Order: sequence, then C-alpha cells, then structure tokens
Amino acid sequence: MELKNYLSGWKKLLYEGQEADLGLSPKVSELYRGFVRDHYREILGKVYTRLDECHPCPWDEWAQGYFREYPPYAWELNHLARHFPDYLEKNRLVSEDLVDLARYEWGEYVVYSHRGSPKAWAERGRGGQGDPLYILNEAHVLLELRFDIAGWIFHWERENGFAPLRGRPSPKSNILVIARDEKTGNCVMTLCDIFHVALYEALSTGPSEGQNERTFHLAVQKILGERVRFTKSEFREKIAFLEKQSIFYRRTP
Amino acid sequence: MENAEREVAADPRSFLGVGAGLRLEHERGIFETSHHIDWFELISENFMDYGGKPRRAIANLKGKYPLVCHGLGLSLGSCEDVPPDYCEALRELLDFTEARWFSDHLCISSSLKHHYHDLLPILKTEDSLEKTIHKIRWIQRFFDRPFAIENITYYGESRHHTMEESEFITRLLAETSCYLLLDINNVYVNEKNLGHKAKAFLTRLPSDRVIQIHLAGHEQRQDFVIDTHGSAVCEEVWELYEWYLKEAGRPINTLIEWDNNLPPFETLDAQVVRAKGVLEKLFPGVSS
Ligand SMILES: [Fe+2]
Repeated sequence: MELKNYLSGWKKLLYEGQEADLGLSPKVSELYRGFVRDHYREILGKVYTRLDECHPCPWDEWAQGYFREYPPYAWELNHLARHFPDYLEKNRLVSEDLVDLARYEWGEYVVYSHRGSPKAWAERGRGGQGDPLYILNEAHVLLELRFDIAGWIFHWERENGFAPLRGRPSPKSNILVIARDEKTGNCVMTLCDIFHVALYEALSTGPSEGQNERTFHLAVQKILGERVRFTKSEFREKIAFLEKQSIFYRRTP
Repeated sequence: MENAEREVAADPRSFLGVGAGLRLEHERGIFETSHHIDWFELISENFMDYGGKPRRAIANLKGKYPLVCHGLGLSLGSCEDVPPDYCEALRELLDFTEARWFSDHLCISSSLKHHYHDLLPILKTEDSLEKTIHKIRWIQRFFDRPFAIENITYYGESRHHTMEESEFITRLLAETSCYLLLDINNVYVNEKNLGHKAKAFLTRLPSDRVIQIHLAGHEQRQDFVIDTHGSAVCEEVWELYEWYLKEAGRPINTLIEWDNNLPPFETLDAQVVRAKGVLEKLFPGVSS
C-alpha cells in the first residue's frame, strides 16, 4: 500500500466517519475513532468547567456534534475549544446567559495562555526618546456580553470560594476586558465604560512614534467626539486605573 | 549552546539521572519540598507559544534542572511538511528551555491538513520508511539539536505493513543520527494487545542509541490495554526495565511519565526513587 493511500484512509475513518481500508479490524478502527473524539470531549470539559458546574453538560453528544461542525483545524489542542460558544449559540443548546458564560471562559483561557507582551513588560517604567508612552498588554480579550458574568462569578467566589458555580447571572449589557497581570499570571477583570472603550480603541491601533500623554489624550478624545469631554486630571485618573488593571504598560519618556 | 556542546550534553553516555514530566500542578512540590527528581521533561505543545504561568514555570526551572522537550506534533510518519508556525513555536521553546534534546513519537498525528491529536500507527513499508527518514533529516537540519524518536503503543497490526517495527526503527536510526526514546511501558502494552514479545523486540533495537527511557502506567479497558499515563508503573514494567538496563549494560536517562489523573507530588517522587533504586542496584554509585 502506498503511504498516501494509508494517510487518506485515516482521514476517511476519523473525519468523514467512513470505512477505510487501513487493514485494521472494525474494533480497532472504532477504538481510534473514540480516541480522537475523546480529545474533544476532554478539552471542552477542561476549558468550560464552570458551564459544566451550573448546567449538566452532555459532553459526549456535544463533543460529537462540535467535532462534526468544527473539525480539528489546529495543532494546539486547547485552541480547538475556541468555537464552542458559537456552536452552543447556533444550535440553541443552552440559554443566552450560559452562552455568555462560555464566551467568558474561553476569554479567560486565551488570556491565561497568551504569549503576552514580554518585551513591553520587561521595559515597563523605562523608556527613551521617541518611545511610545502606552503599550497595550497583548494578553487580553474584550468581550461584549449580555449578562453580568464577571459580577456573578466574583460574588459567588467571594461567598463560596471555589465551590461549584450555582445560580444565574443578571441581565446587563457590558463590555468586559480580561487582562493578565504579568506579575502573578492571574486574570484581571475590568468592566469598561465609554471612556475605557475609547482608550482601548486608541491603544489597539498600536502605539505611534513619539506618542505621549498629551497626544494620547487627544487620540482618545477624538474617538469619543464632542459629546463626552475629559479633563487632564480625569484622563490621568482613568489611565492610572487601567494601568493597575494590567490593560497596558507605560514607559517613562 | 554551541552544537558541539549540545552533542556532548545529549550523548547517551552522559547520564542525567531520573526525571519526571513537568506538571504545573506540581510546581510547589518541586520548589518547596525536598525530592529526588534530577531533570524534567515538558510536553512541548503545552508550552509552545504560551506566556503567563506556563512560561514562568520554565523560567523558574531553567538553570536549576536540565530540561528536555517531548512533543506529538511533528507527525513523523506522514510525508508532509510540518506547519511553519509549529516549527517556529517549537524552535523558540527549545531555545528558551535550552533543551538538552527533544523528541517526538514515531507516529502519524496529522496529515492532509487534519490534526488528530492522537498517536496513529505509521505504515511500516519501504516507501513509508524512506519518507520518514527524509522527514527526520529535515527536522534535524531545521532544529539543529539532538532529536529522539519514541516507540508508541498501537492497538492493531495493519495487514498493509511489510516490515516489523524493530526493523523499521533500526533502519531509521542507522540512516539518521537521531536517538531512540524507548518507552518500556509501550513495549509491554504492545505485548499485551498484539502478542509481540517484549524482550525479543527490545533485543532487536540498538541499545547504544537509546538516549532516554519512559516508564508509565496503563489501564485495562474492555478488550484492550490502553496506554493512559494515568497510574503508577506496574510490576511487570519495572521488571522489564531492570532486565533491559542489565542487557544494555549502562545506566540510561529515565523518566516517569504521569500525565493524567495526577497523583500527589510525593507519589510521583516515590516512582522516581524506585527507578533510582533499580539503577543503583545495577550500577552502584550511579545516583550519587
Ligand atoms: Fe512515552
């Protein structure tokens, strides 16, 4: 048998769910099919632990359906869980609040594992002529949620520690940024107001050459338009808060 | 590290002792207790392209313990190129960890742009051997670091094979300068599932090319013994390990693989102590 036929045999068996001439018994073929599916189930269970705590998840069934709709496209196993919130929503498998919870859990995973901005972290507080003053911490995600997931989890953990999550979140549209505190490796949550979003947007376009507090203030103000104005001290206060929340690093020019 | 130095560090004759797989759950145990682990092996894909806590764990270990990287994404048995982003991320990790050597399984883990995240058996034919040799040579050139292949477990013998696994591995080692990561548990599991005689298989392999041994646990599930890495090494595998070291006539870097169903750190350490006991019995003074 030629190697290329053997390789397409595996693809047929494991992806297309068809019989393939691999020269193996049906029992062995089924065992391998099970292994590949089990990886999906395991990874979903690992990333979406809170979802599993507050809603009985039929992982076998969901993993099979998810595998069919989003077959493994990446070498990084954990990344395969990325589209699961979309899968839940599209197939109406859970209510909207739990879809939001799943988005939150994926966001947490991304931030936990992200390569981050090691250079900006190492150089924080330092700087030189022409250095940008503010550098976005790449280890972050911005989520637009319909329910107060962060508040729900925060209050639950404050009262109950790490006991399995119970209850439901209250409806509340919010923009949540999850960023990683490089010092501890922990995720920091920030509920964003309009100013934060504008500031965040200004940072997302990338630091520009020679950017400083004044030019940055102008950039943020431009995004906000005429209706919302911030004084210099208000601007500084907001910025200090977001820096504390690990959303960006600052260099001293 | 210069190439020459790397070669020396990875020479099978330079004995590192007994190691364990690095698990972040065991980080406190590693740094806050006195234990017997001499070196650590990282699952490459669990650290490649990662920052945060996983990366910090490596930074903390580096310089204190020798590190090696063990992956499953190179898919040695499929003839296709390795994805460039995978190669870059692995190369970065090998540099960051200052890995003494790195290894992957003699298996198919992806092909035709599909990723299986599992270890599928290679096709043992002349055509497949030739392509695997070609791929390993490419890997050695690209990564420029000592490389080892690991024998895997498999659960059925395809009737399309035209050669024995031991012949495939021996010829592969002869045609490339790569090393062998010999998983004794896998050999044992293959004997249980397929009836391949473990000792006969082991004696056919060139022991001077073995850079590392894996010891792990397995599980009986219905009709198969499954290589789960989720329990302690069984008595039969300990016996086979001791027998093999005696045959090889030299101490070999040994690693306890325990990836699933993680035990308390002390239990893992006890497995390391047991492996050291076997080495010490056969080669007195080797652990000191
Ligand atoms: Fe192994």
